Amino acid sequence: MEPFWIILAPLVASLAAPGIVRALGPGRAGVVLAAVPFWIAGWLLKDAFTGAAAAEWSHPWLPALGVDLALKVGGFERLFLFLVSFIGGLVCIYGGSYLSGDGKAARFFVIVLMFMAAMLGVIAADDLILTFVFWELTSLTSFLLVGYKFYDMAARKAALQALLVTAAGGLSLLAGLLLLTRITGETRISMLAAHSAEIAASPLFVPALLLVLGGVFTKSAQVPFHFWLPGAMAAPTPVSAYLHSATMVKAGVILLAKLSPAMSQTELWGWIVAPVGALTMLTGVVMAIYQTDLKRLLAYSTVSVLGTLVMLLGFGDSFSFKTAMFLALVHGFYKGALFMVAGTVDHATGTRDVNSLSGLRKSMPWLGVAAAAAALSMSGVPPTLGFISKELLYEAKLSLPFARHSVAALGVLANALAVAIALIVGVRPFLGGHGSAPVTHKPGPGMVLPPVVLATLGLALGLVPGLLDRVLISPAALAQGFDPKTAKLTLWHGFTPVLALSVITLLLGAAIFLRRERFAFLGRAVDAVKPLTPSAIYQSGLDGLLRAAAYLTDWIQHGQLRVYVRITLLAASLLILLGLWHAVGDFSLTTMVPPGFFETMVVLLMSVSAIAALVAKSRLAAILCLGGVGYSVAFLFVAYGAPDLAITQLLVETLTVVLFSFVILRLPQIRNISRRRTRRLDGAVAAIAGLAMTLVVWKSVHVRTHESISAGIIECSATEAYGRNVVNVILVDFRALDTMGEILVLALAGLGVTALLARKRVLSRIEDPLGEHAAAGETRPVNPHVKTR
Amino acid sequence: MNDPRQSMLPAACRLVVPTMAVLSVYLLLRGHNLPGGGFIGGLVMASALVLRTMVDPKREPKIDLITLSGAGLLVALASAAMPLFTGRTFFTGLWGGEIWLPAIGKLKLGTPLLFDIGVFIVVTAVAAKLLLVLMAQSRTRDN
Repeated sequence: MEPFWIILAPLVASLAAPGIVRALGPGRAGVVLAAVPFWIAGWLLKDAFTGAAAAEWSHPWLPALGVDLALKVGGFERLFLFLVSFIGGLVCIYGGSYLSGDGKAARFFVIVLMFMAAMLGVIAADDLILTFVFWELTSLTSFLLVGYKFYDMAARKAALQALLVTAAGGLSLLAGLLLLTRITGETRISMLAAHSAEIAASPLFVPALLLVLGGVFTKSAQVPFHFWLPGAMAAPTPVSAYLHSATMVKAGVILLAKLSPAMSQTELWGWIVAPVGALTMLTGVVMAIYQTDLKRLLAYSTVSVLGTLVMLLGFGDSFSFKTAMFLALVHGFYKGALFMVAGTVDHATGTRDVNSLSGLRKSMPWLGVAAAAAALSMSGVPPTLGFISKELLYEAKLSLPFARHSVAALGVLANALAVAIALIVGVRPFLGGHGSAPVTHKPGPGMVLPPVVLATLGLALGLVPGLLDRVLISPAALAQGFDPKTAKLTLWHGFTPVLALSVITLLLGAAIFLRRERFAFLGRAVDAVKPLTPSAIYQSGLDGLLRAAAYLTDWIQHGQLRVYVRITLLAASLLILLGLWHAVGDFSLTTMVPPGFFETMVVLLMSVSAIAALVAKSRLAAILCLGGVGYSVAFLFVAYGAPDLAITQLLVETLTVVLFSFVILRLPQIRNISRRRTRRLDGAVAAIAGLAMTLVVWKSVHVRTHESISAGIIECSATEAYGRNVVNVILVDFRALDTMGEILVLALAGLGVTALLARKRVLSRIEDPLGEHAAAGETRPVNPHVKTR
Repeated sequence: MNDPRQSMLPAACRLVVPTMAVLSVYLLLRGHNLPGGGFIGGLVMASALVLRTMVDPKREPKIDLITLSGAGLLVALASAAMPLFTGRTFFTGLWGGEIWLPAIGKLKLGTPLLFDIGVFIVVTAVAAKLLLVLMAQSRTRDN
């Protein structure tokens, strides 16, 4: 099977989703749609077991730039593709059940499956530009999913924040990738490793690396860009479980891993990537420990794990790389499970506040089992996968060439806090007597089974780590050029310092859990420095931008037609006069042909009409006089042999007069609308514009830098375009593209005028498209610049 | 209706409007060789439509003019895209046979003519729409 099916299949499912949801209802539709990602996961797993060679596929896209639609599914890609498709299938089942009472469930499936396709594309793409396209698609679909409850102001705000942060990072990434392409002349990612020496030596390397990291750090929520991730918890929980723990936020880590063969062999890489990762690792857990909302606890602990992954990739050695691969998989399992548990609890009790939840084991025993198993894996208790990954993590830190003890100590602190968080989220709500929040609806099997499956895998696979190592983890490390034999995945490493650290972590974590109320001071401390936090800086930056935009709009778009015209004419005249100052040619009258009788009369007529328009006492008279000027121009066109122009001018002039006469009778008397001073100013502006126009026409008669093309066009029009009317041939054949643009503008203008004049009717439709918000008593913000009448 | 001033324009319109419509098509079709073309023809057709509604406000065009302008754009785009199917570049003129029409004479058929018809439709629709909307606007304010 060709690799492109990995991306195409979810897209097809996305298209089919609304029909399936309508036919079967969200719950069953989720199960049916889950078949697609499960099929992908099964296929990948089969290839992984048989150790199939990397599958590649490519199709020319922009051959002139050397950009192909290139996909590659090797050992590394298989690991992450499996993670995304497998958890994606579970999320489909879970989401269907979670949203079964929600009328918009079809929208969820459409976007989630689109997101899945984009995410699988980020992993499988073997072309830098293609990777970027998929990367942006994940940002966009994430925006739609975070803002799923679009009627909720907070959700819209969170969605916009996630989009602005990740899309800004996306731009930075694009610039970085383009620099990388410029250095190597290569857009294939698998070919970049061969250029690593060239990349490191290039003067463009530092900007390229910084720009790429800008994209990676924003996407993977590294400090100081971490704040969008907890905000994104406004999304429905199935979305958080999928995008914001297992998949999208790992896109940065994945890209970092993909580029690490090409870029990690430099000092700068380690000096930037590892410290940022370490700082994020610590920040995440410290911010998490005092939270009381289940999803925020999980979100901040996800930030911490993302930091750990980035830090490991920053170390750049084979051991750390393999550990990162393993940790990414393990984290996907336990964090996905815990998010789903949190969602089910929220759904059943209506609250996510840990302080008002307890004794849930009695009403939801299976969920309790899943929660406990996932919490054990998160804490790193043997024999879970989490234990193995934590051992490897400590070993990686202890084998650093320097500062190993302090790094390991920081690691113990972060992991101990993670243990406490795991206990708060996964164990605490299920123990004790009945809590203050009772279970109102009992969750269906679709909301219990997926977390149970994920948590069980985290336990069961811990018993056979060698299998996981052989099938998924080692091939992933090997494919990126790292030696997989350095790290062994086993449950028992013997009595080593690492084991001691694990035990200390667990004990410390339990102690923190028991005294968790003491950490409330952290929340107060963060509140105290609130204006300095990245999220506050983001917010004030955004507010400032909006204020500046509003100010600028008020200043430029003031709505006074007279001033608009004045500014337009003055600016145009000024530019023309400046241009004339420098242009070649002269103003001599020598080459001018003296005007004949007919032309003189027409010009005279025109002048009389213009003056009459000025002194006219009524509007109608003024309009008619202006029409007279227009008709005179048409006569001039006739005199100089341009019948097409003359006809057009006559028609347009006629229609303008008609149009004016519709409007004008409603307007106030001429005498009332302007003072003498204003008129003098208008007169000056008109004189300047007229002078500029006259000068430019005068001068252009003398300027001929190239041969005239008229003769050529006249010759061609009969022989090649079968037409004798050159004007028309130019319009519909030689310069037809221009005409196309013009009629497009014309049609748009028609649309605009219609919309403006029929504003009242249209606005009332825009304001309440579903007709439900008025009933819900919620006010929707309408663009403040569109004033309702 | 007994006032002659009220009945003169309607009477004239019965004659003038169809004449203008025919004239507009004539201008469109002869445009490739003689003064005329889609733009001019469209303006004449729009004037005819407006005149008709001016005389009797109830007689508005039955087709939605905005939709019509979109259709005109599609016609123009189709004529531009046709050469793509024969392996030529966008907007290459494709020419077919000649037909004979009364008053116009020999007319060579081809994608540029189709394009001009697209222009004709867009100009007719937009110009008529603008005038009719303004006319309706001034009428509602009267009432």
